Amino acid sequence: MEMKEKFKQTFDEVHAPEDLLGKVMELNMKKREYRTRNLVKAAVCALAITTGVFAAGNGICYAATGESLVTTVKIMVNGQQIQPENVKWEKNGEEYEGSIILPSEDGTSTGLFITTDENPEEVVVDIDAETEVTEDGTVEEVVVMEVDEEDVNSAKYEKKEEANSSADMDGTE
Amino acid sequence: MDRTEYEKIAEENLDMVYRIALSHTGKEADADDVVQQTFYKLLASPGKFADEEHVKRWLIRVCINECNSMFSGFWRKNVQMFSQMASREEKAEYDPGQALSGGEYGQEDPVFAQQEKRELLEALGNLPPVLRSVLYLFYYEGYKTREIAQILHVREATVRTRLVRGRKLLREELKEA
Repeated sequence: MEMKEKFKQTFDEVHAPEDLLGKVMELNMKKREYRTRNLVKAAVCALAITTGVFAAGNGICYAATGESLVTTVKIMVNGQQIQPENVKWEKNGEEYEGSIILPSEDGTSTGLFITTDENPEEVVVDIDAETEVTEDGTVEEVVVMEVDEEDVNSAKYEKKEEANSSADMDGTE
Repeated sequence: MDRTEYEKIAEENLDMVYRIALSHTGKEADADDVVQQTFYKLLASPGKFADEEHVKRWLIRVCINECNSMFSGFWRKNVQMFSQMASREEKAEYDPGQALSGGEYGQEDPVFAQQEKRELLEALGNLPPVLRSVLYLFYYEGYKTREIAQILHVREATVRTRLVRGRKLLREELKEA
């Protein structure tokens, strides 16, 4: 028998097992799972690295300058620290972040907006309802305004903020 | 590479890759591993193939590389082929006839009850791996020496030398058997 014929007869009978075909087909699905899993892992790793770098940078910054990269903005109203809700708004093409003070116990409704730069220092704003707010060097703009009680609702307030902004900027009301 | 394309390639080439893997490794379990590894690499590849022949040659190349990698480790280098080392009981467990047929271990396979078919695989298993792939590609896949040289990334003269040497050794092995 010729060699070619021997090879043909032998290997013609060779077929991959059916379960192997199944395994090979499953690779496609597994690869997708791996890809998703790898993406999640990559995201977690990136987050961990970012946090680590930020923490290290903060430590170095604190060691070098005595000031940390992140400071909290503490708002004191009539001697009491408050945790107002965050409000974002846009004015003259710039985005601002601030906080709204909820109505005080004596019925006076007061809204306070604070915008800070990218590296805010701790700001302690101690205000009465209508007194002027002390401004730290890092605070770009501080506006005190009065709002009605119903305007505390943030959705309503955002609509009215634009109309009131010019008056607020002048410090009136 | 999308799923449909991958499945089509897998269905068309699985037997061929399995044959190469089995002729190299001599064990069904090892051949399984090599086949899976080869197709995993296909999935990981950019998947830009000119035609079916291109895919086939790529798979042959990768499969042979995987077989070589499998036997490049220290442990594998020092483990003899099943035909040389196995006792009769072990041989029954790793019966190449069973492996070739795709049957389960221990099941009787009528095709490889024919000794001469089993002999070729056992004889191939006793040859150096570089000769096995050349013989397989030349005699079974029908590639010419120039094409085998392209697939294996060696000179054509090298392929011819391996072919002559392999043929001679294979005949000796078959005579001994």
